[in-house]
Amino acid sequence: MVADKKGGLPKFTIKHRGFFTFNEVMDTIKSFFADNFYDSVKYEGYKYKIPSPAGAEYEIIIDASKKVNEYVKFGIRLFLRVFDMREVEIVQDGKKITTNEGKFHLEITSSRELDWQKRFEGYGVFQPFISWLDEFFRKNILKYKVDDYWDDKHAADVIGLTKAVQNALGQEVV
Amino acid sequence: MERDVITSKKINFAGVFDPQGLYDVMKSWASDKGYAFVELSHSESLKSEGKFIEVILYPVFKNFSDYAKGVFKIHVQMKKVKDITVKQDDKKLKMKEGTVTISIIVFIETDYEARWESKPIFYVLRTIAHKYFLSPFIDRNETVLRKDLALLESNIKSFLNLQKFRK
Repeated sequence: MVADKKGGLPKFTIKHRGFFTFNEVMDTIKSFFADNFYDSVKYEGYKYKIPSPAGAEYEIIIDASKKVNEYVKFGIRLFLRVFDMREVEIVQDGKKITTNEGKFHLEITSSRELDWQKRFEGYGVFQPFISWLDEFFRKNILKYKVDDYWDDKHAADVIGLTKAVQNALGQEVV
Repeated sequence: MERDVITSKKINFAGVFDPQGLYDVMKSWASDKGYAFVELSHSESLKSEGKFIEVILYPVFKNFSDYAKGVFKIHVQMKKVKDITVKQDDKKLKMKEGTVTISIIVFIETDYEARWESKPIFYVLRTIAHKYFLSPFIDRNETVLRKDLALLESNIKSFLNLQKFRK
């Protein structure tokens, strides 16, 4: 990967059909962002459909970002859809518990932005020189730091979130 | 960037196995051989005939140099996964039974940073360099990938066959 101004990982998809506790999944997502110092967590969209006989439906979009330093910023966008969700009572290890049953679909998109403060965009007569300096800085001096350190750290964040959600869903293979 | 498929493999299995153990075999192979691991998609659904689990690991990659990179695409499908109890050394163990299909495609990506694609003349130079100067290195990388695939295959097969004796 070249140290481009904007980068990111491929889109991750988690699909689950069966039993899960919706509130536990949402709490896991919230605490993950808090534990990993994501300073801005916005609910870009929140739709709830009045339950039909098949069950309730949710569509939630969460946009979170973390200013790692003055130059690097990480972003994670979650697109969550839950269909046919019903409350059910099941017996687990001899105990009666209340949980949810339904279809769960989560897409995790990530982004890594360099020069998020636009300090290297320059202005006036210096603009071409500053832009060139930024490109030189990124492609020759910061290249390995971005590729081998920041991108890996960002990947660890995204993979950590994926695993946390899978654990909360109670998936077989994590 | 150019991508050449080197080889592909399919593993089928039906019987008793441990899904988490199988996943761990692939994870430990990747970390032993220095591959970075991305889980592109993961789906699990509860069906009347058993659980259906599908995992796509892509790209599982290793950079050989600034020019060449080895990539694996591993697609795992577990069908009709049911809970069973097996006896081992007078102990009761909770295991799973079902069918597993693993498809692996191995390819090599060259000029993955697209450095030689900015101008037409660079592209021509790259083709010449690839054909006449870099081909021995690429062949060596291909051998490494074939060996890694063979190891992964034998690890998976021996893991799955070991599970058979638990019944």
